[in-house]
Amino acid sequence: MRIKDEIGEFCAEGRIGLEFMNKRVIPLLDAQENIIMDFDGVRSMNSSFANALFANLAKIYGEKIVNRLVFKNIRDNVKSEIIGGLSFGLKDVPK
Amino acid sequence: MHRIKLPKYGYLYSCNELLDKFDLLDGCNDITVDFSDVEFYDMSSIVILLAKLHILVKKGLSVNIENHENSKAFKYMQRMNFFKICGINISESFSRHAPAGRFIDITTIGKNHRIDTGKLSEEVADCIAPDQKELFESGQTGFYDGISYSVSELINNVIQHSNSYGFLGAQYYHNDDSTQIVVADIGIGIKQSFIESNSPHASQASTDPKAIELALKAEVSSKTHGIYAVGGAENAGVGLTLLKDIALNSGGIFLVISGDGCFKNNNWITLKNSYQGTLVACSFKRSNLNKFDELLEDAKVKNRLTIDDVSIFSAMFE
Repeated sequence: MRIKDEIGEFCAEGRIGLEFMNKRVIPLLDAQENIIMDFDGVRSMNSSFANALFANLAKIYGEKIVNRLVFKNIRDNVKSEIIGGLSFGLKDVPK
Repeated sequence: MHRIKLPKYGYLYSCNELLDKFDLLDGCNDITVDFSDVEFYDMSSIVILLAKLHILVKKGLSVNIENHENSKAFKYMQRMNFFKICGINISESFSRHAPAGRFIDITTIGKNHRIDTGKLSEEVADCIAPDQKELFESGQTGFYDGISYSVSELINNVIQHSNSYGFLGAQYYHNDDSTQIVVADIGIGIKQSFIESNSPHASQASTDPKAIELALKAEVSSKTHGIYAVGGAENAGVGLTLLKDIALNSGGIFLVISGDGCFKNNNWITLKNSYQGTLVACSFKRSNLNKFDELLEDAKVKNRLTIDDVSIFSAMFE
């Protein structure tokens, strides 16, 4: 998935993150596909988007999400937001 | 008829005092706002004054402004679109130069106005941090990223919670290396947002200061429950919490006003006159915001928003 094409240069809205998760990501994960997300050209992400997409995915799939998603061509600030979102989602998930 | 003489100066740090000038309006149907003493208002003060005037009109008051064309701040306020957004069209005696590196014109956001958070946030960052616009290497764009991040979270708040519209302003001040970002909406306010969304926190948000305090608490939002969580919550309730810590840890100012509650740099003040909406204004030192990634990470750790060992995610990044 090329995130710049799907979302844009700045992933900034929780509403869009949630819609992307429900319409594009979950159907693939539930079909047992692993997903490569390519962030080439994505400049920024905020916490609203990261929590709507990645925290919710972590809550749904638990630690198994770690083996289902791969991220490439990623800026440090975007990487930090994704880790923040995943971490936030896993915080209250029982191991 | 009630007459309000605006003070000579208006600064972010004294915005609550500016709003207190609108005290004693109960029972009056029309007011005149006198600009004759006005000499300098910073971006936050202009946006807050603009929002307050809109609130008064929304309440049905007839608002007249007077002596604005003679005030020393007239051209600056005109350049920021203050009068235009007040519905007063005055011909301009100056040329509009590109504002790159300094400010954005005040922009109306929210219901029936701009809601394209990502694009608008980047437009603001392009204006305030044009020197970092074309850079892409991590570590070189902290100021740009910090501006776009902060603006986006504030716009999202208006869209999600105000049920109305508001005004966005931003300016960089070379003299003290600070950047102000302000968003003032004329919506339902924080307390009412908890009530109208049937939030489980509504009973704790019994006063405006308590509602602000809750909104600043990590993982509390009026919209993380019930119908708002079906298919996953789109709001984790961390936006304002993180922004407060980023602003204060960057040597700046953080202000939230809603109803009669005012939170300013960790201090609480009660307004004489209720502000019927929500406003958030913050400032950052540019030199410190260049380390935006560190400031954001520190804020997340402080608010316990991460797990202890994030090394489990390492294999996910190619």
